[in-house]
Amino acid sequence: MTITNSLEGFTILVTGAAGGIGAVTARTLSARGARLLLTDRDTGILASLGAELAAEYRVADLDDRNQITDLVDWADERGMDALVNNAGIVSMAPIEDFPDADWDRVIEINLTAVHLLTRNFARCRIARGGGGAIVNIASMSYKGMTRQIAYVASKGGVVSLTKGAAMELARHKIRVNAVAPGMTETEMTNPADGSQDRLRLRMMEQIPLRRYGEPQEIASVVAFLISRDASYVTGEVIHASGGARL
Amino acid sequence: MTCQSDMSGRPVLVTGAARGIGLAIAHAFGARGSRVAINDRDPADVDRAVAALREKGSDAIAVPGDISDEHACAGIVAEACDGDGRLAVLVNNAAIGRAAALAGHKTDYWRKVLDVNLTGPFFLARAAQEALRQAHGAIVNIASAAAYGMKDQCSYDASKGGLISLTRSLALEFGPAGVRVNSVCPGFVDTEMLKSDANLHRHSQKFARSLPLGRLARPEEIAEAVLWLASDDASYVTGHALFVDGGWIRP
Repeated sequence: MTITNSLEGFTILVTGAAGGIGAVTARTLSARGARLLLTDRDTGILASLGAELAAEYRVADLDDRNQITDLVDWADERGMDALVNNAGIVSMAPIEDFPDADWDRVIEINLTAVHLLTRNFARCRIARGGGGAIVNIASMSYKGMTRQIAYVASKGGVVSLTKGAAMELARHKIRVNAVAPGMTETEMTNPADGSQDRLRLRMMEQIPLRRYGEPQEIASVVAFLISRDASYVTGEVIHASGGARL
Repeated sequence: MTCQSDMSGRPVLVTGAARGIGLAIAHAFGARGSRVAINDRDPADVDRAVAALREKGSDAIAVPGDISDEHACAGIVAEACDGDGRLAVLVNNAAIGRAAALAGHKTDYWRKVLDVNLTGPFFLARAAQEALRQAHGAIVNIASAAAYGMKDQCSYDASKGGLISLTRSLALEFGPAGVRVNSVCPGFVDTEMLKSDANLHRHSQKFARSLPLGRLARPEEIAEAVLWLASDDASYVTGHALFVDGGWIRP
């Protein structure tokens, strides 16, 4: 049983569109009728994905605030009415050794940029009379995870930002929701060299569905939350974790 | 209704489906080609709902019965399954409420509310477990934002909190078999039941203006969330309580 939440008529800006979950999300949203606007740090994958989806793209560094402003203005000129804040980075180190520079960079990309994109999106949409949807990609690690304290804190921030922005932007008919993926099959969690295989088996034991999620299974949550089928859903964080860390 | 899906012929059981949210859920599944088994207490009410679905070209059957009765539940599930004994979706929607402050909250109220709202879904899940496994199916429990507390509704609130916990427990148990279990937590929904009580309707509309989205939900908005959770689009979502409450609770 599959549902195709129609996204006909939506123009959606996706950040981190060249990444594992980002590219699959862009493809899914496009397949359901949305027009896509793509952004990421470098041109390579972005250009080929843009060609594949007949989507315009723009390279932007999300730790540069001027570039964020220009990016959202660019998207607004192209009719953007939905935003998927997907771009994110992680830095691994035990808390007692966690480098200041890594903390700053993770918080800047994963949390501050999400705020700035949300703020500028809201400005643009309100100027056009309101309406729209934002979906933030959080992570189940907002409930705690070892050796990545900045990531954990940034995702907790994204969850709170989602709820606060939902309250504040509802009167402008902008819904704000998030997806919190659990373990997801990507290059990072399942490298070809098999170096993660033992960890994967151990992790799967703790996942009620006994498997990692596919990027497609995150993308289909994003599609639902943007669609009109979720018209009474705002401030919600959907856990797509196979039942892990309920 | 913007989503299309292939649910052709899939057997779905919806309890409390004679009216309101349950009927909207039944219509939503019916419109996607499911074979909808409609349960409610009064057979005449059930027949009317079945006729309403058939009028729209949907496939529906009547499975009346009292879900607080363990033996009735076994029969309801058996009739709802397809010829191979499979059940694709169980929607536990039937619920009752009794408004009364604690001092006047009769033991009988408490027992009846818990029997229907919490024990009923337990009976049905237990009766349907094999049929759900066979179908790699899904359970969607209609809990409520009231699980977070509403004045003078102690039995209702406790039953819905319990239903969220039951959802999580069953998600852990059913997960390895690929059966997903989730709940939907509606806020205030603009149903006929709400409209029939002028005082309650006025109160809820006033309350709704204080919600972030500033309005009551339409029953169809709850139904779409149920449909989505039951579908393959939610294939990595289990044990979750999805709040469809206009931004009210934000757990």
